[in-house]
Amino acid sequence: MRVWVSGRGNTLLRALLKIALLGLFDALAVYWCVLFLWEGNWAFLGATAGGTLLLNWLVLSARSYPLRYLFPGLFFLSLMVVYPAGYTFYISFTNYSTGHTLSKDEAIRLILRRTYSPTPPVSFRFWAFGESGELYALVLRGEKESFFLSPEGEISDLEGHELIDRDGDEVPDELDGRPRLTRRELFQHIKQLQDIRVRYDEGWLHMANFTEFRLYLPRYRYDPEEGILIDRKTGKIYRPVKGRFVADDGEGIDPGWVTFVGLQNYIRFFFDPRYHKAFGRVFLWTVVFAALTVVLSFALGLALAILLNDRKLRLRKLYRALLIVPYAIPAFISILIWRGFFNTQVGLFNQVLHSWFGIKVPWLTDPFWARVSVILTNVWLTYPYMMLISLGALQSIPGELYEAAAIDGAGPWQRFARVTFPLLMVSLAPMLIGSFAYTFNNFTLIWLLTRGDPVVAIGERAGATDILLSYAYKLAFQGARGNEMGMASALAVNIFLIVALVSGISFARTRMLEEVSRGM
Amino acid sequence: MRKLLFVALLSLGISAIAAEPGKLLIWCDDTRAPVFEEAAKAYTEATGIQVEVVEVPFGDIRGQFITAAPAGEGPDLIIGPHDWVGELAANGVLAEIQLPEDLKASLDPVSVEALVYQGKLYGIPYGREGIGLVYNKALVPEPPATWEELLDLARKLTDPTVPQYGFVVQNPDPYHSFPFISALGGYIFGKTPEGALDPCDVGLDNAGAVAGAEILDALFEEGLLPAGLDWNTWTGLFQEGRIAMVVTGPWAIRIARDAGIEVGVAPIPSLPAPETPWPPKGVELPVIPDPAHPNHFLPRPFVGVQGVMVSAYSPNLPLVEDFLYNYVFTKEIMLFLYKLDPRIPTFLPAYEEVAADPVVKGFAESIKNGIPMPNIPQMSAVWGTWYDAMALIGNQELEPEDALHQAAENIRDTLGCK
Amino acid sequence: MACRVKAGFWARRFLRNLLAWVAIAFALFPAVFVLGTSFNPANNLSTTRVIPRNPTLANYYDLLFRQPFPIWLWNSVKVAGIASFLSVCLCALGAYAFSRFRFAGRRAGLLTLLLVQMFPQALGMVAIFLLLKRIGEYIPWLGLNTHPGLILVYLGGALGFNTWLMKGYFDTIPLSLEESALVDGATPFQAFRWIILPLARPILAVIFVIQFITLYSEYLLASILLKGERMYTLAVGMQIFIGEHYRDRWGMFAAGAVIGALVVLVIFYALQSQIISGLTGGAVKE
Repeated sequence: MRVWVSGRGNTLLRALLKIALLGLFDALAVYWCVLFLWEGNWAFLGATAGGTLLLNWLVLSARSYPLRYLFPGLFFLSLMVVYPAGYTFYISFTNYSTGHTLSKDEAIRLILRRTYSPTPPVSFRFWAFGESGELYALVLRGEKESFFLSPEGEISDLEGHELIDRDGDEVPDELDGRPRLTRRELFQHIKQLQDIRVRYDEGWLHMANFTEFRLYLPRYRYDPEEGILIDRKTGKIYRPVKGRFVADDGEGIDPGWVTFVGLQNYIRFFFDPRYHKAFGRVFLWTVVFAALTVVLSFALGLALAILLNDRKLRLRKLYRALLIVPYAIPAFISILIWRGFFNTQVGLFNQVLHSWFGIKVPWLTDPFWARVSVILTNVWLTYPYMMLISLGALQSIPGELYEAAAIDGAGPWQRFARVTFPLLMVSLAPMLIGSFAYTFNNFTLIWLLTRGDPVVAIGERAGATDILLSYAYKLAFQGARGNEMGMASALAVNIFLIVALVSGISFARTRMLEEVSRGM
Repeated sequence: MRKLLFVALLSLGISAIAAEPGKLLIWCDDTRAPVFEEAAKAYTEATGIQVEVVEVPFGDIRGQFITAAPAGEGPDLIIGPHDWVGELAANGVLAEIQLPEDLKASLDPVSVEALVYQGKLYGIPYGREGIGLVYNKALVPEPPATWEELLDLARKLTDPTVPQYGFVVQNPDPYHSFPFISALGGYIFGKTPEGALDPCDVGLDNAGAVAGAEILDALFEEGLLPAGLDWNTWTGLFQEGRIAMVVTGPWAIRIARDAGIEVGVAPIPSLPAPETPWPPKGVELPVIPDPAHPNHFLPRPFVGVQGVMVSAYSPNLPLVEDFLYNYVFTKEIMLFLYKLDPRIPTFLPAYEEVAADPVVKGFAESIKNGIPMPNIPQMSAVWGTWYDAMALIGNQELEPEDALHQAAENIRDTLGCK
Repeated sequence: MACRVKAGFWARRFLRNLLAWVAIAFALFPAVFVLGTSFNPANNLSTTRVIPRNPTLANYYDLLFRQPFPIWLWNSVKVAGIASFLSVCLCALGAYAFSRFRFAGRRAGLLTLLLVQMFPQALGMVAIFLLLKRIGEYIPWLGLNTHPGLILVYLGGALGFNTWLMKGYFDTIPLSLEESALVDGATPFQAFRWIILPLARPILAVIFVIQFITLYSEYLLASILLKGERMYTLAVGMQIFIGEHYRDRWGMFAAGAVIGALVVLVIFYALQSQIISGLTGGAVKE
């Protein structure tokens, strides 16, 4: 047992050390804040300033002692879970979808970069000259005129520059004493060359390929005051409509941008019959599916944990490791293997059933059996987790309780029902609720095993085994315009609220269980 | 010393990957990566420009490209199928491509067309594929020429108790059912007078589609084709030599070869129309009659085109074009691609080299009259509903006419066409 | 009397072993097919026969020597291991606070933690991507496409249900142990570090295993944040084999699954002694 080193001398030292470290951290934080301020990065500035103040309070105030333990965990939680959740919530109020993924500025910027070549196209052959690894200048020769072009993009007359063509092949070999760059040397300056833009005529000249500079005219002009986009080539005018530039004749320009649409996604869900028709049925099945999975896998997991807790059972460690296998194999492949087992014609199960009993069960084609298949597979996938947490929780029950019960004459079943189970439920009940919540949203399983099939009816997006999340996926990503992330986010928020409500209520009911162990 | 530092950094798990000027970055799946690495090596040798090929899981490329490119974290080039073009172009992440005349002349025009969206070209095709009739030569020495011959063979060879099947189509799968639907005049989206796809002209429930679906339905009814036959199940049976004929694509050839099954490839036999004349009087249907057999019409499978697409955010467009036109679209690289990824080359000089191969010939013949899969984002409203319809037909829960009609109405409704 | 007990004893023993083996059969039979698939040279999922025609070890050979599989494996173990270890630390700190201290908002706070973790994370991926990109601009070794960055993201899941589980366990450790330490002049943190933690070894090990397995198989975040085959974790790397439909290489994927699972099993087996490291029953009597 450790000897506590106490005494006022050391406490003073520790306090000084704490202040010193805090001061150092504060100095660093101030540096970062100034940096963010200078860059105009308000989000990071706010986060850093707020975080630092919080940290100072935590370290210096005595009342905040418990929070010091929670701070690191909460920090990551807010950054990696709360923030994305907030982002999803924000997205649900927008029209984020295919063609609407950029901000308006980004979209305009992208559109304004588009160019077109005039007819007839205007191009200049070019050659680059330099020596000792330096790019001196370029010579541009067009149909009618030729230019001297500096690497900075300044164009001027060729007069006053010496251009020598030694071999008379119309290709200049030397400019002002500098030789022509070979192709390979050209590549060394590619970054510079690609960046050159020369104002010419109504547009810009820049490098089209390794032999030509071409004239590119900007295709569009944006009028920020009126908020319209004008096509310079055709003269068409496009106005912003629902996050996209659309002309009067209906022609639109891609990409559009993300706009705020308020509650439209939510309203669509609640009031469009196409969306909410199957909701009740899907919701009911999701609840049943999650509840049955949890109950059955917990029963199995707990039974196995208890069975394997018996010290008189040899090879316990081996048994436990083998029983973990379903948890250790990637669910991806095991689910697909189960799917193969369930095949009506040639699947393993029906082959066995057929040879023993002469029957074939329509595992994945009949709604009832499909649901059975889903639950069976999920029990297989989940029971190891239940076994693990039961194992952990079992260790926390002091052995003397069993002894006391045995002395009182309780048999094995009574020991389990009166001692083991209640104590286990104190720590495990919330885990079960959590497992319920996880299963409720177990998209992977449904998608890989059945895709939500069997199909109930064509108008119905939801099949017989669709859970809320897979139904939401179908609604959002198999709609009119491809991926509707905004809609999906709204649905996710709704599903989350449902799950949170159900879980919250269940937690409130487990309040009673928490006090059991306290009384000991 | 630098190597040590590099290794140290790598073990710390650090690496920066994003498109930068003066350097090329390609996202590619691992099957094709070696080809682009080879082209990259040649390019670097010739020009000194670094080209990096990053292997990304195929299913992730599209979605992550849409997020990463605008953030400046995307590649210069991606390799993918043509039906990505609609969604990517709608999000503004693809650069329009102007093909030089000589390259354009040496590419298969239908494949180039597949990469066009709203009148602009967004990719360069390197390979095309579609499904055809793959047959086990041990069970079927000569492929059937008409549907009736095929049915005959199928009936003779099918015995579910063994199990052995004479003729199989993956189901319920819209892609694989399309040759039947299209043979007699069905289609997904019609075309506007300008040649673009018209999402409100849905041909999934027209007379031709229904007739084709009924031919398929008859297979289920007769018990020749089991319902719910997915990829894994039928390839397992095929490898054991239990399937005589199957409608599938080039991806099955390697499976057959690995299992030691000798296979041949032929076009899917022409389907008989339910009545003469076909199309019925007064109805216009896009059909192609079989010149060798009256009142029979040729199936038109979906054609899938694989191509190279360029990011609109790439800072290196001249480099990209130089790389693609001069180092990727060469006969050697195209043949190397064909070797690793056996799709029919769209680069004609390469195609001529392999055209004699019977497998290539078989598939090329099969998709000669094929229709490119629609690449517009509205397709996402089609697949799910169409799948549901085929599933119900397969399970014998709905008649083809009802199922397809409901599906088409559903699609029109979703797309707001009323 | 002795004979009857003996007969009953052996019968019970036999029954227990039998039950264990039945359960193991249930657990393993799909796994056996995964094993069979890994020996399949054709890239088919073996669901109808365990040993495929022409079984071969080529998949393992290819995987270990021609693919960056060993790198992926190492990356996964590294990332999952470090992140789980740190998670357990954060979780223990939090659980201790909830268990031992009385502060305002304790119950509500715990409940909120649990509810927050229920939010489907999949749609917030873009936010995390952009966040890491920004962080990477200031701290390059912590940004996109870095393992420390990925570990950082995984730490978000540290406080949650595992905290509750741990708290429940801590609750059963009698307060008297710490009280005696505090009387001896220890700070609460020292009591936590030197008394509670050693006694809580079983639950720490359980949480570590659970977190490890969860992060080891995590795909979504890893695939968005990592690019490049030297950086991928196992889950992402293996996805490459089955990414494109009709070109799935189940043989190699299964081989990878088998090896990956073995690693997990070995870690679990090794930690078992920690999990079952005795009961707290006797501690008070000290």
